Amino acid sequence: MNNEFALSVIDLQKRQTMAELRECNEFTIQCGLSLSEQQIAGVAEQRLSALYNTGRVEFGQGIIKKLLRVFCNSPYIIQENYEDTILELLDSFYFFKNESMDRISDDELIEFMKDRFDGICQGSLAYLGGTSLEELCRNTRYGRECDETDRHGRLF
Amino acid sequence: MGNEITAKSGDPFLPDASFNDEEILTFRLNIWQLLGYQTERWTMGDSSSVPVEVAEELLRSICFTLHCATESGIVSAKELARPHDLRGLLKRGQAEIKNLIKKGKTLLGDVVRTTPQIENISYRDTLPGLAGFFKKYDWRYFAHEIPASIDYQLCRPVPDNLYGIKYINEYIVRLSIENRVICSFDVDTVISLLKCHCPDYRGLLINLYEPVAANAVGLALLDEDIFSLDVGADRQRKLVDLFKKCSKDEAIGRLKNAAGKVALRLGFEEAAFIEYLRQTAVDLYPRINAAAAAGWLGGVFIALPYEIGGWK
Repeated sequence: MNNEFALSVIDLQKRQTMAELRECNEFTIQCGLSLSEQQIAGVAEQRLSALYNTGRVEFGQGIIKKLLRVFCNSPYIIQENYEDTILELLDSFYFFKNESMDRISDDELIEFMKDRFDGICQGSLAYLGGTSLEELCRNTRYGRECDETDRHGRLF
Repeated sequence: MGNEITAKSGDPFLPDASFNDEEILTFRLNIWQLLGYQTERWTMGDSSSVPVEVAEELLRSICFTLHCATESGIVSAKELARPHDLRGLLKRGQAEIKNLIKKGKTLLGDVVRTTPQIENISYRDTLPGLAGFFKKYDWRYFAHEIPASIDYQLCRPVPDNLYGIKYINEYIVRLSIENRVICSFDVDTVISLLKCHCPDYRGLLINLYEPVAANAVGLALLDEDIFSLDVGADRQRKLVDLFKKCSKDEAIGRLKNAAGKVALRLGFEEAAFIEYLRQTAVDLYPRINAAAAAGWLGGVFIALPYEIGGWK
């Protein structure tokens, strides 16, 4: 057997992700959110692309289901921005997973993202990625507590 | 595209078997599932994704562990390409690695006991490095790694295609053989020889065994007393004459014979020991060939300038 081989099950994973997204539609519909087949294919593609761009490998069910389950009840996500928001959240998630040097678990990171997204960021993905997550990762790296308040000391 | 990792040539090799296309596909799927399982254990279920560098290391470790299982005959390589869960096979590979660890610890104990009473910094630093390996070695997730600081250079280095515990065990086996050769000679004579070979033999990164073995082989070639370890000018001249008359094959044959005689005189009968000595002798040939052409073998076989207790 050749000593070189690429261990890749991309097609299988893409199909799995699409199946998961279809399942997600069943509970997100209760919040008025759903993805069409075309959007599902796009998100599945974007997930792989986000993994590639951040140099990560994901196994099992991945984080899409968890992410959608947590974010679907956000007051800042509506059907019109649903797909774009998921894509951005996926990118941010893997990027900041790296930035935190894997010291934050999936659940913790998703929970933090949701708290900030609905809180101080007020639905702004740019704010979430540019400030809150950066701060979280910096604090994680240096072992500091995260300041949960805004610059006026208000807690959302 | 993402979620792709590559095992490169020269990595801890994959099980050696000729798979057809379908079996290769099944094998990859099996390995992928196993990698997912190992990743989940490594992250303790906290993270479903890991950096690609970590995934590659985990993959190499899996391949190494499965290779240990197939190589020891616990399972056949074909078993890996059957559609089933490989976790059982991984566990059996890990059990095999644990046996190798046990064996390695015993071997290291022997090496420590037979350490020559000759001062050499790299040798002295390597022994704790080898002991440290057994504390740092992560056989569950990074079985192919060699977390040890090894400064001392063997006369015949361990092949690059050995990894993890296999590398360390082979290193220790070779070191043990070298120790036994050195310890068979009078320690003061060996120190005298080393002083001639390299005045700073204590501080420099040199191999202690090589000059001893070379001189012993040289003396065996002349049917002289190998325990004197002295290949003086007269003997060097005789060796030049001997090698000048020989073709390459003849010379290598003589060197192998002489190594066999050395083993016999030292009273060692193990095949591994004789083979190591033979290969050491064969490795001398290119140097002997070049030096004999110049009519001087002083760089290969060393003359002792003084006897113990005074200059000659």
